[in-house]
Amino acid sequence: MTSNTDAIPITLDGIGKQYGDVTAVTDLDMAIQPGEFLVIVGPSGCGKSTTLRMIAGLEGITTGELRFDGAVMNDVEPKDRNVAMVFQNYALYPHMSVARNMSFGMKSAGDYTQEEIDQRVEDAAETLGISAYLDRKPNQLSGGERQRVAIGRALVRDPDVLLLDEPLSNLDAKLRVEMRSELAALHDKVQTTSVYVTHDQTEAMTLGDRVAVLNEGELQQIDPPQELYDRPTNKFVGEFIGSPQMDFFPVEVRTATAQPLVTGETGEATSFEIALSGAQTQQIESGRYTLGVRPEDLYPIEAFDHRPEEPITLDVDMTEPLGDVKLVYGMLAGQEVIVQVDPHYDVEKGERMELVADPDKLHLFDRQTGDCIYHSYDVTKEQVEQGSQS
Amino acid sequence: MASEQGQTTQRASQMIDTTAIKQRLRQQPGLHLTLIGSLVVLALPVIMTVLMSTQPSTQISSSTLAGIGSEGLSNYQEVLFEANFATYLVNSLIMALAIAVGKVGIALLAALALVYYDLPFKRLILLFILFTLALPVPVRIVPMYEIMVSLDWENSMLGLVVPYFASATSVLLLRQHFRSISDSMVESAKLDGVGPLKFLVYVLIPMSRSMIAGLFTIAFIWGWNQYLWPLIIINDQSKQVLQVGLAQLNPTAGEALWGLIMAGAVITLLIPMVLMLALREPLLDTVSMQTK
Repeated sequence: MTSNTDAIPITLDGIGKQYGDVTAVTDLDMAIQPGEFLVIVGPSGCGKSTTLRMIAGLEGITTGELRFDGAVMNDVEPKDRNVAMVFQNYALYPHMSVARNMSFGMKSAGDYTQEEIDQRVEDAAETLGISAYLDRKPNQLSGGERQRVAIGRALVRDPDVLLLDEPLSNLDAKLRVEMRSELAALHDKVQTTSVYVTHDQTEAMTLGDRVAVLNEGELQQIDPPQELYDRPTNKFVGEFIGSPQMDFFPVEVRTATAQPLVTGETGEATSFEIALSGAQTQQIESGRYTLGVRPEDLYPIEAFDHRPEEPITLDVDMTEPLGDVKLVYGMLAGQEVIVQVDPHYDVEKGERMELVADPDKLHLFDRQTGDCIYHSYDVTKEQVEQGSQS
Repeated sequence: MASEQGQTTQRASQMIDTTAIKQRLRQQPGLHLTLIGSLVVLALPVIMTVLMSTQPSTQISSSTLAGIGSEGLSNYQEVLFEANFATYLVNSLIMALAIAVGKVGIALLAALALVYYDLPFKRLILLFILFTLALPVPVRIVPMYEIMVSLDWENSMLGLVVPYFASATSVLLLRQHFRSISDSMVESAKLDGVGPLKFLVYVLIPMSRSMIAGLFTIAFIWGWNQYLWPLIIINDQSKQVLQVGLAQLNPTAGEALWGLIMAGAVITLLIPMVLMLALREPLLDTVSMQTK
């Protein structure tokens, strides 16, 4: 299988899907680059699968326009879109051999000679390392092998667009990691424009050239994985991307001083205070916000050289040693707070911890809209992209 | 090679089965005695019929039954050739085959439409089909006869089999089975440009093989056992079927020739029995699905 030099762009222009009174997807704009691997991620029911199925043509599009390489696809039959899809449950025909499963679609299309079909099946099988199984039936294969066959079936037709609907969800954890890197390598090789749907943020981060985060049928953010992690556009993205998830603190911000000062609303007399820095601080107005800090950006006060104005105090409810790190759980102002500390850091349930947040890794969210109004992380998007390229 | 392998494993599993059965027999003797007992009770009439079919007719009514009689061959010869059973046998076979093929074929198409097509009022259509279950043959026999007469299908094979082509039970069972097949199969086919009929032939039918075999057996035996409808619609002895012929063996006056009747009954039993033995596994699958 040679690399696909004529990969096409896909444009979603204000795409919406309505089932009766229920809105599944609202006004979705996405421009998928030729050869890009785009991952759509979100919680279940966020409309990610519906979006994928609209691209495939398995669902009708209520509003907006879908274009493949400039051509409007809204009313084009699925079979005429030249898309291939890999399903979560593999969707292999149980009574057909692997080779027949892979060639069945091509034979039905009738555009290929038998020689061509054999050659392509052979090539795809070799690429995916399933040549030895071509005569077997799907039920004689393991889950990982079945998924390889399903991917092979999608690739033999040399589709313009490869759609993957949670293809790794039925595999066990170890195999999932293996298949994940294989998928990434495969995409590097074939360079077909691909859209991958998953609810697993790790898969999204590791596989995607860019990741689109969807919630309740609306696009939250579409960016390269690192950008998504460093600069979530809103509280939802901050919470969804990253594991363990981001901690949130209700805070009040005062801008009277030279540096805006964040005060925690913890209901205690003495609460934490953090001074904000960076170029973006001019945009902040005084008021009440939600402060977001990732668990790995919170440190025990003695383990971090930066001294905050007032540290965050946390009563430890539970600790979880994971080997490489230790997670510390506690409640603050009615919200669970997770802190990721060194695995050898000595802390027990019932103890009180003093914490400091890395001042370069702070996010402020609007309480009403959830929109992010400030990242203390100062590196620009362009610099991030340059960094990831080098 | 794969099939060879399959056969060996099957043989091996059968061998394992016998030891397993012996073991289970020892573990639950009560259960197995009950099962064997009921098996004997169920098989007794059939065994009696076979034995009686070999006896001279006069002896059956006069004496107690004792073993295989002397007139086995002559009873069967008489029934087959003098009482026209050879012809009835062929007619019954054609009728039952046609009904079974028609039923399964139409049910396949109907289930395909009900599951995979976007039809308006799908549930209503299904409900309507199920409603026909409330109208068994005896209820609709007069209007059915009138239709056959107006079609000029009276006294013909068409009139005998066509009214039975539609079967709500088969449609329902196949529909349930199709619905259990993952949607992504049909979606994958759609993306590949596989048309609905191709999908039916290459995907659905192979995936429903045991279901279809089971339905076929049930429909065949059901068709084979038709009595009332052939009696009404067929006037010609050369077009008549076994079940009616069997009834005609019983004379309206005088003493019943039990040896002949029993020989006729055995002939009537034969083909369904062979079919059931041949297709017992898919049949059991289907029945267990029905009760699920």
